[in-house]
Formats: sequence, structure tokens, C-alpha cells
Amino acid sequence: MSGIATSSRILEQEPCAEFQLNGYVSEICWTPDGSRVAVASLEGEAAVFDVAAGRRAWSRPELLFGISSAAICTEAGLLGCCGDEKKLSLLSLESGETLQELALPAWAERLRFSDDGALMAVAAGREVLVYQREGSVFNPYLTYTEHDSTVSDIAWQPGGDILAACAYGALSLWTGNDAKDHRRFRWKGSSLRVAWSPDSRYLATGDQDATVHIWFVDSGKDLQMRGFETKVLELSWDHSGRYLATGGGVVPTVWDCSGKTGPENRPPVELFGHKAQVKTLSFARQHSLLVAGDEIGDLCAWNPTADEAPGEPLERRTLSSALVYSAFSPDDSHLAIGGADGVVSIFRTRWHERA
Amino acid sequence: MDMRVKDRRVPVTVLTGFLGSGKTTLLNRILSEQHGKRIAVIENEFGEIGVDHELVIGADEEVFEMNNGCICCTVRGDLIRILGKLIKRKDQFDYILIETTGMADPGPVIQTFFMDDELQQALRVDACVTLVDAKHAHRQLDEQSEASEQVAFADVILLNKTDLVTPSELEQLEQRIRSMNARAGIHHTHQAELPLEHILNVEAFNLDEALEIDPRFLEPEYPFEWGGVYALSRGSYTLEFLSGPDPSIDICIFPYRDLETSPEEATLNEVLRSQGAELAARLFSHEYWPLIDGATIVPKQRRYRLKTSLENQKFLIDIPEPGSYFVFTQHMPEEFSMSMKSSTGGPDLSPTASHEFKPDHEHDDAVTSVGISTPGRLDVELLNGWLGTLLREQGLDIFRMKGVLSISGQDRRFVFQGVHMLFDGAPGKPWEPNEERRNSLVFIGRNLNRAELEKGFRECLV
Repeated sequence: MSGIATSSRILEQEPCAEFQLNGYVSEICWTPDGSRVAVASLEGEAAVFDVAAGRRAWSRPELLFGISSAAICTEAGLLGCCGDEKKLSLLSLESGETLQELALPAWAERLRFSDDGALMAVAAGREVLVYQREGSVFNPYLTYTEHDSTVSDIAWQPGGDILAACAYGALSLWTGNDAKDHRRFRWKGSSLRVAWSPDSRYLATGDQDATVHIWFVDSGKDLQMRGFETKVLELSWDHSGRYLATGGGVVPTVWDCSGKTGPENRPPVELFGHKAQVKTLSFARQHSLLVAGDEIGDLCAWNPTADEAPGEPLERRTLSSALVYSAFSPDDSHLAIGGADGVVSIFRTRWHERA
Repeated sequence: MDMRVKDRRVPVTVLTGFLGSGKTTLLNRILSEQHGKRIAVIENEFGEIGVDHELVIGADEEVFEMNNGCICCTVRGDLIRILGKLIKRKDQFDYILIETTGMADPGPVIQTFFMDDELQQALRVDACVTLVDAKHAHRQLDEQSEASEQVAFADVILLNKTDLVTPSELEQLEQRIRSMNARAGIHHTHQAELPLEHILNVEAFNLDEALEIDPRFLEPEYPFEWGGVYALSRGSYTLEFLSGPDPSIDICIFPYRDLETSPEEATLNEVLRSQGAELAARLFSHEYWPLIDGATIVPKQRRYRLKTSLENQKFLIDIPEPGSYFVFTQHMPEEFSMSMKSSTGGPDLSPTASHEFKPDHEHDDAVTSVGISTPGRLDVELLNGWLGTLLREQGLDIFRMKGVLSISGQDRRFVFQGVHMLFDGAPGKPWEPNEERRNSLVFIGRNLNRAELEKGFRECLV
């Protein structure tokens, strides 16, 4: 998927590794040490790549009918996958062998492990099932019910055990030790994605009605951001929790959430450079760098948190397929980009070297 | 030379029809014919236990099951998600069939394709095909508004089960159907048998016609039916209601200045329908403040629930400063004979702008489903006796029943379907040697007694 870079201040000119997956890339996750990257596709393939060696460690081409979500639990040494089947598969991160299969009541949209690896949550239909880890085995623990419709996304509180689950009608907060809902932020609309700010002060949702909600977790107050061209599936917080980047169109926007009132009455920073709908965006994990990929294969990068308004992208290059997933390695030394054609490209970052 | 640009979007057929009209039979016929298409099927079930996928024959096509509710309501989100995934796997499919629940209003289902940019770019609605059960249609059309919606929205109508009615009954039914929808192609069928060129790729759906049936077809749904703008001076006003069809009405009143817009940017009517409605939708998401007769409404960002169970009730509104005020009501004001006037007297005030909003649509709440899923083997004699009694006594209220049963002494599943008092069953796939033999059945109807149904069924187990 290597292509023409019109400027190359952020990423190396050529990818350091490139892998072909069967089908649209649905998830990319890095191991904490950044040595390997696990990927999944909507055609049901799961694979792990050894980044340093530039080779495929293993692959399960038809693990599920389709994989919607995958996540790594390093504490248990496994990769969890779920999707268009009523089961979830827990695979050895090392070998790809199936360690455990768990039956689900419905197809699953999302699977996430808590930061300490003690809990695993799976959104399956209107329920969220929580499993507790014992060694490398996950046992059924709690079931969160009473969602008004299919749960479209879940997110564990950073470093905590509160789970946010979004569905039509409400954003629900559940605690990891009780099946009763902790809190419920009601909204007569369909939230599609949810993301905690790293400091847990905010929860942001991307919504079907081309809006973004920002909920103040303490007070339950919400702000609704409008003006997006399409439904918003792309949300990313910067490492400080001050800036939220949102997609929902051709022009990504960044909201300054600092201060008591957050982004209220504060215009967002608009980032120009794309000519087509943005399909993925990610802040670097430790730096003020945002990358975005669009449906015609253009990749742009900015520092939207600098004092001066960001003008031209710091980086712009065209890859060969729609870019649908992006993820920085934990130390920001690499960026993995996934395409609609199943190609996953790993680029070394130059930004990281300078920092 | 034909210079038209070929529409390369994947066609979608929406298959509707009231409970038991033969949708699954038609679906099976489509899937079993050699048409050369790679079809993805999306199944939506009203029942709480999904059994429809068991009724669909084993085929190469992938069947996507949705049984989290009715496709036309909150499950529209599911539909968007499933279709969103399908279009990302577009090399695998070149046709999509959506079988809706018998309870579905097809309008919101079709609307989905026009409300989501991603879907609109990749998919086109080819036709809405509606099956009508010739035997039970009159009763269904009389009693269930969804049945009428299905007929009204159809591009192709199959009057099915024609063997169960006389020619004159069929003619009478066709006249009734024709009076409801004059533009659809109508076919008479038995066992849903019809050449597929009348059903697939017919390019019959027309957005303009859908807008003729429902002028608000493309409008979003709101939790309120009416909004108006009143020009009010500083002072006290009364809002009066007579008793209406419901014991309460939700309402919100807020000043123009609460909106992030200024009067010169748009007309009042435009603001009412855009920013005003958006703010009201947010307020209708909030917890309500209950108010009873004589209480004061403060115009602020709050949802009030006004008790309207008395014959006549008055609420006071204190207007702190002159200006335009937005009023949004859950129901149409005339349903409660709502009127506003100054507390000092004078005529009823009229809004300077008003708009009727498309409300959230509702199903007949009395129609429910009872699902039973239990392992074990059934005594066929006991089962026949129980079902016979049940259909004789409650057949009119049981719109639909269907299921997959494990009969003692039989190596194959027994797959059955029933509509009102008619019942049809046949052996299905064989049970695998180590497979758990589980009975799954669903009843859909009115006034169903879950405990009695479960008890009766369990008594048939060996």
C-alpha cells in the first residue's frame, strides 16, 4: 500500500512492514511493548504480525464469519475476537491457537479488556457480558441488561472498572462489580461510538444524527456538537485529555475541552487537507500529533494543539486504498494503517525520533 | 446508444407482509432458484426467540439475523450496522433481501436507506414486495395499521394463499387492495409461486411516490408532534387544556434567545423546524417535571409533564421579558383543546409560526410475543392435543406461531408454522448425534398468557 508522499516530515517514506489481510480491516491493536500488532478483518481473519522481523507470526483466515472487534489481553497472553457469530474466540497471542470459546446470546459488536486485564466486556445484542479473568481463563461474571437497543460500542474507564456502553436512547455507565447500572445519560438518539477522555473527565459519543455529544462525567451535563456532514464514527482523544478529534466528514475537527465549561461556545479547529470522507483518525499516544485517513487513500497529519492555527498538513501522502483504521504503537515509534483492501502498512515515525 | 449511467449500487428488496402471509416461503423459493445472484438475506423477527433462520432452507446465502426488536423501530440501528458491514464485503454479495417482521411498518425501513449517507451511496431500494394472506387479509387490514402501511408502501403485491378463498372473495380483496394502492403490480399466488423477474431487480421503488404516500417520509422522527412560536409580552399567561386521550401531555417552552441563532439568519418557521426542534428533542430526552392543575410553567430548558386528567385544567406561564417563545407538545394541541391567553383576558393567542412534526411511530402494545426455548423431547400425542385446544380457544388472538420441535422417536426436527387457526408442519434438518435437542417456538398475538403457554408446552414433554 506504499504510495506517493508529497511531504514526509512525520513518517518514513516507505513502510517498514506491510501485510495483506483477507478483507476490510476492522481492528488493529498493538502489544504494550510495540513488538507485535494484532489485526482483524470483516471477512473473519485474525492475525498477528511481528513488526521488528517484518513477518506474519500467525494467521487464522476464517476464524469467524466476520470479525467486528478484537483486543489484546497481555496479562493472559491472548487475543480476543468477536463478530458476526454468536461466540467469541480467545486465541493465544503467541501461536493463534484457540484457548477458549464462549457462547454469546447474539452477534457481538465490540470486545474490550479493562486496563488491568482483570475484566473482559463484550457487547452482544442488547446485553453487555462481563467475564472475569482467572489466570488465562475468562469466566462469566456479570451481565448488563436493559439497554434500549443493540449496544453499538463499549469502553472501559482508563485505569478503572466503569464501563460505558452506548445504544439508542442512553449512554449507560456500569461498574465492574455490580450488574446494576451505575448511571445513565439519556439521549433520544443513536450513539455509535464512545470514548473516555484519558483523565475520565469526559465521555464523548459519535452519533448517527451527525452530532457529537460530550458528557461531563461528574455532573451529567452534556454538550452537543453539530455541523458534521455525516454520522460520526471517528473519535480520538489526545494523551492529555484536553483535545478531542472528531471525523464525520471531509474536514476533521478538534475541540479544546480545557477549562470548566469544556468546548462550550468555543469553535473547533478545522483541519484541511482531505478531499474525501475521513474514515479513521488517531492521536499519537504521547505526542500532539493527529493522523487521519480518508476513503480515497489520502493520509494527513497535523499538530492541531499548537498555538498557531494548523495550516497545511505536516504530512500528506496517498496510499492505494481507502484508509479505514489507524493506530500508533504505545511509544509512538510506529503507525499502523489498515485499508479497505486488507493491507496493513506499518510506518516508522520521524516525529518520534525528534521528540 | 443508451447514454444512461448504469446505477452500480447493490439492489435491495424489502420483503414485507403481515404475520403468516408467506414471506419465508417466498424467501425460500428465491434462495432455491438458480438465479446466479449472490444474495445476502437479513432476517428480522418480532418474536423474542429467533426461529426464522431455522425456517430458511440451508443455502449458500448468508442469513443475518436480527431479533432485538422490530426492524422499523430501534433496530433500524442494527439494520444500518449490518448493511454497513455488508457494503464493506461487497465482493461477496450482489443482492440484498430484507425480510421484515410481520409487524413492521415498511416506511421507516425504506427511509433508512435515505437517512444514512454511507448506505445511500452503496445501495438502492429496488422494490418493496408485500405478501397478503388472502384468507385473513380483511381482518388484518381492519385491525392492524401496520398491514395497511405494508399495502400502501408496496411496489409489488402478492395476494398469496389464493387456494384458501373463493374467486369472488379474491376479487373483492383485490378491489380493496387496489383502492389502497393503485400503482403496485398485483399478482395472485399459491405458495408464493411467481417468476422471480416479477420480484427481483424490478426497479419499481420510486422516492417521489413514497413521498406522495407519506409527505414526511424523509423527515426525522421526533418525540413531539407539534411546535409553535408565540410572540409574548412581559407578564402572565394561562395555558388551558381540556381532558384528552391521554392522562398527561409533555411540553416544553423556552425563549428564542436560548438558541444559537439570530432572527436575521432565518425565518421563524425555519428556526422552529431546525434549531428549535433540535433543542426540544434534547429537552424531551431529559427527565420530566410533573405539574398539576394551577401550577406555574417557567419558560426554560425543561420538559414538563402536565396532568390533564381533569375536565379542564389551567397552567400559568410567567414571561419575564418580551420576545418569541417556542412551545413543543408531545401530542397535537387540538387533541387536548390547548389554548393560550393573557391572564388579563382577551382572545386566545395564535402562534406566529407552527409546524407538525413526524412523531415516533408506535406499535399496538397489546401485540406481544412469547418465546419458549427448552431442551427435551415431546410426546406427539400430547402436543397435538394441546395445540388443537389452544388454536380452538385462542386462535383468533394468535396471529402467528412458529417453531422448531424435537419430537420423541423422530430423527429430524419438526418445523411448523401457524396463522390464526391454520397450522402447517414438516420434517426439517436431522438432529446431529451429539447435538442438544432443543425446542424453540414463538407465539405472536394479542392477550397472550406466558405462564399458561409455558405450562401447557412443558406438559407435552416426555
